[in-house]
Amino acid sequence: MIHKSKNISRLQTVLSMVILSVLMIIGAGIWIAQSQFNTAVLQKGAFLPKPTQKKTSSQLSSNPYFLPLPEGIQPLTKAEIFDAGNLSDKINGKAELYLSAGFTRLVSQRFKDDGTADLWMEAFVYDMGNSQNAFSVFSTQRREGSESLDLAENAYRTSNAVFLTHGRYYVEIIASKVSEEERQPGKLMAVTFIRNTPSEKAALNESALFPEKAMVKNSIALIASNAFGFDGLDKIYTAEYEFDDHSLMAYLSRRGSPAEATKMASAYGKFLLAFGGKQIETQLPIKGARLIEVLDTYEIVFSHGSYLAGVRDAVNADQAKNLAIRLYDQLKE
Amino acid sequence: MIPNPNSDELNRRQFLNRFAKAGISISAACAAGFWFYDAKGPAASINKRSEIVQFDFSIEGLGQKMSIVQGEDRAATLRMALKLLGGIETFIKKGDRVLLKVNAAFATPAMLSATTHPEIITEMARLCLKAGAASVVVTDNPINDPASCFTLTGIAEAARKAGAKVILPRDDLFVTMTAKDAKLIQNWPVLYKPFADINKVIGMAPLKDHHRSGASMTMKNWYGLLGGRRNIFHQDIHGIIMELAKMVKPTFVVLDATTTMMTNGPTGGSLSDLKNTHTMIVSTDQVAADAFGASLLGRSLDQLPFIGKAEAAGLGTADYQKLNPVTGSTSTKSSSEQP
Repeated sequence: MIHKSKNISRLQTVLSMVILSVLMIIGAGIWIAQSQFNTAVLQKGAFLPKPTQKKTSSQLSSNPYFLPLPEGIQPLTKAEIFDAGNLSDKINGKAELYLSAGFTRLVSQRFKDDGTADLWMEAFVYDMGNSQNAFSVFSTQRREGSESLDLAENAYRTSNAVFLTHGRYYVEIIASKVSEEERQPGKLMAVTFIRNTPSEKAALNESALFPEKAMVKNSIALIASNAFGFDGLDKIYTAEYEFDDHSLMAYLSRRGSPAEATKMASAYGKFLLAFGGKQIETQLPIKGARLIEVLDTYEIVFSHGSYLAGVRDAVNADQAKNLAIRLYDQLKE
Repeated sequence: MIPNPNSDELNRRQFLNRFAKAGISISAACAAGFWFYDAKGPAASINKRSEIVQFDFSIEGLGQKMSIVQGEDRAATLRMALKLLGGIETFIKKGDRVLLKVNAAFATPAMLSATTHPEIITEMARLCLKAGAASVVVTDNPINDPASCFTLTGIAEAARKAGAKVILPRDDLFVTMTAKDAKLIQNWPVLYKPFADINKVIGMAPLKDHHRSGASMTMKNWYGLLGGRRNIFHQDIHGIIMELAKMVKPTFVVLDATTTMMTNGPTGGSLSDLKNTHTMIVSTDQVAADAFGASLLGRSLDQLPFIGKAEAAGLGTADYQKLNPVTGSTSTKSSSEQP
C-alpha cells in the first residue's frame, strides 16, 4: 500500500492547486471569449451600428477646438469621434483615402447660426498623424477655382466651405447654404481652431524642389499610396505644368537611400513596360533615365541621390525631356 | 526487493501506477480537445437557415425602357421622363404599395447632392399616389445616424409633404439573408421587412463620383439595404454592387443627374465638386441607366467594372443606345419619340 501522505509534500499540494486554479481561469476566459464572438463574423446583434461604435462627447459645447464660437453660432449636435475602425460610418467610401494616408482620428460637430435661417455648418477635424499626411488629403481633394486663404500655410475656401491644414490636422468647415454670412463664421472658426491648436512646423519637403516656371498654381499634391496605379509608389509629390496648351505632370519622392530610389525607378519603369509601354532610346543628360511611350503619352523616370523623379502625361517626347531636365537640374542644386 | 513503506522514494509499482494515470489524463485531455475541435469554424450567421432572397418587382412583359430628359427643374424633368415611357400609370396601378429606395446616406444638406434630392421624392410620391397607389414608403439604411440623415437632407419633410411614410431602419426590420447565386451576400442582414408588404419598388439615386467604386448611381444605391459592418464589402466593391443589382429587380430606377458630383465623392462637401448636367434618367434597366450616367461623369466603362460585371450577369445592357432611349427636354418642350 502506498502512503500518499508521506509521498506528497505540502509544497506539491499547493503548487497543484495553483496550477488547477490557473487552468480554471484560462478555461473561464476562453468560455467568455467564445460567448462574445466577433460580431463582424457572426453578425449577431450587428444589424445596425451600436451607439458604442460612435463615441460622442457628453456636452454640446465640449469640442474645444472652436471655442469661443463666433457670435450667433451655437452647437447643433454633440461632437462625434471616429477612429480608423469606424471612419467609414461617417464618410463611407472616402474613408479609404484617409486611412491610406495615415488617419488616426476624426472629431466632427455641427453648428447652427442663430442669425441666419436654415444655416448650419459641420466641422470635420481629421488628425492625420503628421503634417505630410494632412497635406496629402488636403491636396488630393483641392477644389478647382477655389480662393486661397492666408490664415494657414494650406487653406482655401469655396462658396460654402473652408478647407485647411494645420500641423497634423486637416480641417473642413462645410456650410448648408451659400451666403456671405456663412463665409465669415466658417473662416472665424478656422482662425479659432488655429489659435487653439498647437502644431509643429511643417518639415521641408519635396514640394519646394519642383521647377516654378510653367507650374500650375496650387497644383502640388501628395499621393499617399498606390500612385499611378503602381502599388510600390507611395508618398509621391506631384505638380502640374502647362506647356503650349498641353498639361503634363512632374513627380518627386525622397526614398530611404539612393539605392532604394534607383530600385524604385527601375520597378516603376518595368511596371510601365509590363502594361504596354515601349522604351524609346534617347540621349538624356540624366544618368539612368528611361523614356517610355505608353498610351500615346510619354513618361520619363529616373533617380538622383535619394530622389525618385519623373514626368508623366507629356504629349510628345520633347516636352517630357524638357521638364525632366529642369527637374533634374533642381535636384542637383 | 521489498519496498520500504516509510521511504519517500518511488518504487517500481508506484512509478508504473502514476505513469498510467498520467497517460490516461493526457489522453483524456487530448480526446476532449479533439471532441471540441471544429475544423470548419463558426458559421457566418447565428441563423443557420438563412433565407434565399430575390427582390423582383419588375413588371413582366414591360421590357427594357429608358428615357433621358434635359432640364433644370427636377420635378418637371421627372414628369417628362415618365411621360415619355407611357406615364406613371405604365408602372403604378391602383392599389399598389410602393417603396422608394432613396439615397439618404449622409446627414448633409440637399444642395451638396450627396443624397437623393427632396424635390424628386416629393414629385415621385405625389405621382404614385395620384396614379392610385395605396401607399408610398421611403426608406434607406444610411451611413450616418438615420434620423439626422432623413431630417437634414430634407428627405423626411419631402416625403411627408407628399403623403408618403418614412421608414427609418431599426434592428427588427433586418433579416439575415442570402442573395440568390451570391458569393458575397450570404447570411447577411438585409433591410427586408419594409419590402414585405410592397409590390412596386423604385430606386432613386443621385449621380456621384465615388472614391472606392468610381461612381455611385442606381446599382450602388441598393448598398443601403445592407446592414451590419457592410464596409467590409468595400474590399470587393464592384462584386458587391453587381450582386446587389442581381438581388433587386426594381420596377424602374431614376438617376438624377440634374447636378452631378464630379469629384470628391461620395461625400463631396463643396459646391465646387458639383456640375450642372441638367439630366434626368428613368429606366427599367439599371445597367443601362448607370452606363449613361458614366458618360455624364466622364468615366469609361473600363473605369467602372461593376457595369461590365452586371451586364455579364445578364442584368441589363451597358450599351444603352440599344434601348433606343426616348429623349426630351423641358426647356424646349420637344421630345423625340422612340421609333
